Amino acid sequence: MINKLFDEQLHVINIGLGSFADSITEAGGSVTNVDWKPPAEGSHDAGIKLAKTVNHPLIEAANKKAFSQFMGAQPNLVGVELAKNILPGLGEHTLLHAGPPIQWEQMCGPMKGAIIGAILLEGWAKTHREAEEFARSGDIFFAPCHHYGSVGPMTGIISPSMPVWVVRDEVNDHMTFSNMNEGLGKVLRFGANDQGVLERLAWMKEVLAPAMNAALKVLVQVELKPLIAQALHMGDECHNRNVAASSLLFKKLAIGLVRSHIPETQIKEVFDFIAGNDHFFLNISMAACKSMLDAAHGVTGSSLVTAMSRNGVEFGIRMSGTNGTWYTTPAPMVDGLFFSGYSKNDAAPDIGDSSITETAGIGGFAMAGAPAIVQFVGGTPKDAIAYTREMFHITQGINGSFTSPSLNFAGLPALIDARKVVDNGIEPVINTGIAHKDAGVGQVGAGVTHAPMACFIQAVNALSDTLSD
Amino acid sequence: MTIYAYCHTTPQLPSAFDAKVHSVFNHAVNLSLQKTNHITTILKATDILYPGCLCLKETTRTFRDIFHPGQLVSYNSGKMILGETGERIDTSNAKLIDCKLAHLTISPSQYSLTIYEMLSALMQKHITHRFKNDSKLQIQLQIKLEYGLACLITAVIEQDNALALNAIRQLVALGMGLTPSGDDILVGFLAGLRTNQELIADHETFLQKFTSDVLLLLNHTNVISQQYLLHAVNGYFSTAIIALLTAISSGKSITSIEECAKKLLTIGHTSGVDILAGLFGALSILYKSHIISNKQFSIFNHWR
Amino acid sequence: MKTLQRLIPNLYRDSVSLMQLSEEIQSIEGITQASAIMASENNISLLLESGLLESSIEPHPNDLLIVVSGENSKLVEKAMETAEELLMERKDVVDSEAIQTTPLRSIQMSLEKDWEANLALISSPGTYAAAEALKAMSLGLHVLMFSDNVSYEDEVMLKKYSEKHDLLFMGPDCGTAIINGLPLGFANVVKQGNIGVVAAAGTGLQQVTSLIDRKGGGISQAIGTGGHDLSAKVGGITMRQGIRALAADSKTDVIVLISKPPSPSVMEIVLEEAEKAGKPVVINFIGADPEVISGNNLLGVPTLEAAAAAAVNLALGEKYETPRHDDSSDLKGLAENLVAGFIPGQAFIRGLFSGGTFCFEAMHLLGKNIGPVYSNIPINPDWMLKDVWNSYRHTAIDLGDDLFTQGRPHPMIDFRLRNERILQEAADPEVAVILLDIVLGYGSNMDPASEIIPAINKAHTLAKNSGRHLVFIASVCGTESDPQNLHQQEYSLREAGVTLTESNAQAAFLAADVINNIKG
Repeated sequence: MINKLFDEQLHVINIGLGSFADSITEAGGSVTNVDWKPPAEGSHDAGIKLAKTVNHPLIEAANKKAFSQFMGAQPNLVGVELAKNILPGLGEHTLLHAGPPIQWEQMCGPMKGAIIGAILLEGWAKTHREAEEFARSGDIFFAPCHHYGSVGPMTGIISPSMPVWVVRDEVNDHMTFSNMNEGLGKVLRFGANDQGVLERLAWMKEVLAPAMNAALKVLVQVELKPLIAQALHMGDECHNRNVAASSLLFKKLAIGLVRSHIPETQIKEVFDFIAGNDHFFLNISMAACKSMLDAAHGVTGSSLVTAMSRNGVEFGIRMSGTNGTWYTTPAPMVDGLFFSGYSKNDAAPDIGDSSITETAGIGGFAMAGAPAIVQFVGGTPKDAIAYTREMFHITQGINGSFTSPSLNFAGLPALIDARKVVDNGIEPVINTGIAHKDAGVGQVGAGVTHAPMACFIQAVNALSDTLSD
Repeated sequence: MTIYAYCHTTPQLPSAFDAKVHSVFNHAVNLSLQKTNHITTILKATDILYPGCLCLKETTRTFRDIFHPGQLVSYNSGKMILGETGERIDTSNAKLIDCKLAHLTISPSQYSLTIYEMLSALMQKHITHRFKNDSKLQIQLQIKLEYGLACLITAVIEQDNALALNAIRQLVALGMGLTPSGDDILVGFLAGLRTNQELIADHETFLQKFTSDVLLLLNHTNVISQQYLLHAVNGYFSTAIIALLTAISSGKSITSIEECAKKLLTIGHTSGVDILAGLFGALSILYKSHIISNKQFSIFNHWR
Repeated sequence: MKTLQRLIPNLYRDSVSLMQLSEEIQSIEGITQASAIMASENNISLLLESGLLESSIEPHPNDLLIVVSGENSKLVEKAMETAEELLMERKDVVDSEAIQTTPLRSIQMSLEKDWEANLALISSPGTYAAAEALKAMSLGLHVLMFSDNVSYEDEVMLKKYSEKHDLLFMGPDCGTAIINGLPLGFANVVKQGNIGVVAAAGTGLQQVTSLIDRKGGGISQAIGTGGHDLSAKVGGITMRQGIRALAADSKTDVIVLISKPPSPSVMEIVLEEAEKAGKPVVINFIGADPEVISGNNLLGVPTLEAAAAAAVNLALGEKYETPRHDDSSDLKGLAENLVAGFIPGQAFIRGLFSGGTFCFEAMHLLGKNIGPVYSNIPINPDWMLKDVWNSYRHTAIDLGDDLFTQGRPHPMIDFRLRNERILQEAADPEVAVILLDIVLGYGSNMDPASEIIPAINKAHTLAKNSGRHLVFIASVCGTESDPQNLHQQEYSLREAGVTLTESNAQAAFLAADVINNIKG
């Protein structure tokens, strides 16, 4: 190859002192200057480990495979079941939560509040105090939703008797789940656990869930990829803005519901509930994203990120090639716009499984097509486009199924490559809601945050270590 | 912004014209003159100059930064104005460099065996690494080029215009690149013919038909290469060709001649080698009495 | 077998791009043949006869014809799309405006912008340089690494990688190279020609290539190996790669090797490699006895200048005879003239060098002729300066050493420290000769003469006021094509009373002669 170089015209890439690049240009050569900063937060060893993974044939091949598997998944909404009846291996006193593993003592306020509510809902305790003692006792097994094939927004608590959406990837015959969205305000997912919350949850189990199930039996299934694609063209990004998707879903469910055996009074209640909740689709969006990402997960040697998640204390990611390992670091605070009466001081750290949407290439990655969201960013639509465009530099490819009119209908960037995040110093962008740090208050704002670099450095180090020299 | 032209070469540009940018490369821009459709080139000033060109010594930008295809250009009284950007190129103080090949004489005694062997060895060295993969296409190409040149040489020796026309037809527009190998061989060949005064005197009728046949077939090749062929027919060649022929005809040392030949070889990717092959072929006619066996004919032994 | 052809009107590309395109498309799995050629009548016949086209098409001499054949239509269509993409300006999802505003933050990102890139020039801090180099090489780029302070472990790892993948890794601590005629780092603009150089010494490479140019020769490639390549730990990996590459390079007829003397085991493997080159190899292990080098095609020479002279002779096919210093009677005469004006007590040389190799070579040559030369990089540990800021007897300083460059630009760019030292030496009554190197080329100061002459003038005045005489001897390392104006630099220096010699070696010889004439 050295002798081949002698026959080529020299094209130089300059890393470091700009004066070298200037000299080359003056001498009539072709040079591209890198705006270089030390990657991997300046660690020499992490830098070498990263370097070992760059353009490694094993990793490149694995990533191509994982990406095509991701693209091949076809998630469909098929029904609603109780968690204990469908989540594989769910034990008796198990409570699932959002984010990477965490124990009761470390949990943040909203999550503790939600767990207390769940304990009461299950009937494992009669009072709030009892519930708290039970939670502290060690008799409850706390586990991430992800470990049981599910995802939940905000505190993301799923208890055995809760109804969950069932999403089935027909290509890989694989199921993923999510709980049902309660609406805004005082809800369990923000840590509220008073009587009103528990009653609503009971109604959802008794009325909403069977109704949804019945509707879906009539429809057989709802194909989720085309629905999301359509919603993306209508100004949704399917994480923080779900109104179009929720409306599209409502259209389908309504047809199924009126043709089912569900009594008219209940249909009325259900319609009122869904119509009043612009985020109804969010949980389904999340389950669909997890479904696609699960298809890409478990490919040996792949550096693609298959989960990003927060539990209010830590931010964690998972990588396709390193199986179940979570790479975690303290969760960042979210910068954004606060609803009137609230400020930064009221905010909880970033929380929820909903960043699974960005992991799949929508949510913040689709900001270019969600001009309304931009207001939370405090910028112009051009800024929103710029956010999406930046993501092209850290992703494996382009998802032709999800296109954006703002990008001339080009596909959105998909599947984060942990190596590129570290090498380019570009963190994945996430659009998110901001919860109040105290349990039960609810959402106090929304904004933009970034997945912290430390997780990706850990992941790349781990992958690098698996490579033989 | 005004760019001052460093030099220009003969034949000189018309004093006024309108043109459009035809194609842009890092170190060269081709303009297509609107009235005549002739191509004229703006080059980055290097040590080898070509006929009918304008040379700039722009060091900080590439031509791709200054020109783009389709851009309008107008020229009048030494000033060229580029459309859209309004940049100017001032040629009023540019040096004029002559690319006309003067009537040189190279006699058999001057074109010594030493020179012949040196040129032969040089071509051999430079041509072997030209074809990296012995693909069928490349092998076919070699054979056709070799055969075409051999026919040219025979045609001149036997003053056979029909054979010459055949040979020219075979070579024009044959090969890869902006100036295909066949065209480059013709350019080199035309240069070599000019130095043989005896031949020019004896073969007047033949040569007249020969050059008009080249002109007839010009439109078989692309417009850029056409221009170089046209210049060659009119006696204009690159400074590298002129330097080499001058070195031989003025009896310079073998080292100097070799230097000139090596410089010629640096042109383009294979253009230099092809031009030299054509030149070499024409010069070997000086030994026409010796060209009988195929052995001497295999100028392209080294291509295999 | 499926064949697809496409005609692209008015597309002009040079033959290199077209050949590369054909090669790239042909290397796609399932593709058997690919070619891109102007659609002239003759080329169409060529394609037909080579079996690449099935039937004739109408000739379009100004259009580009692409023909792709492969196993099935899907593969062929995809390959054709790739070919078209490669030919046109890259059609990006993002518009070009956005690309310009997103800064390029990594080598991989830069490759998206310039996919023809083939060399990475790395000058980031040493801690990070190794990782960048590994990335570059993984992406198929050759590397020139200016950064130093890279660990031996990292250096060996990188060189082993480069060797395995037949990539050039020039460094660490390599500031000079000339590849395909392009000066990289601190390098001079030299004529292209048939002499290839591999050097473990930056300014050594600059001196040799400049002298070759000035003697009428030309450089095919000048490869730097970095300062530690010939250490026992590294074993000369890059030098040997360089020798092999130049041996296989048809444009190179003579090879020159430059370095400080390597350890015996490394010298052996380097010479072994050189003997296999199949062409003459001129070797200067600076300061070592050339007799040490023996071998059929090997020629040991005593100085950098001799290396250049030998190479130029051999490149022209002539024989080389090592000049004997005593033969140069012009220098002797010159030395005699310069002695006039010294007063008793003036006896010493002070060499102030911006190039480490120049200092090194000078010390060896001076040492043979006038005795111990003290330095911050002495050739004998006994001759280490106790205080590098104060000279002692004969002294030669490498001002590019870390000691002097902490928080300061390199002395080839910034003359302040050297100028101050000139005045300091001028004030010392024992000083007779001040020896300098002036290095031109890219990376160096744009007008060294203007920087240094004021100090020289002041020095002369200082000496004169004390009734003393000072002799300045210098060599200018550079060519006529360098961005600085060589002739103007030399002229100005001569006007300021500096005696210029053609090379660093001659400057050292002359300085020694002057000193010996004082004694004599």
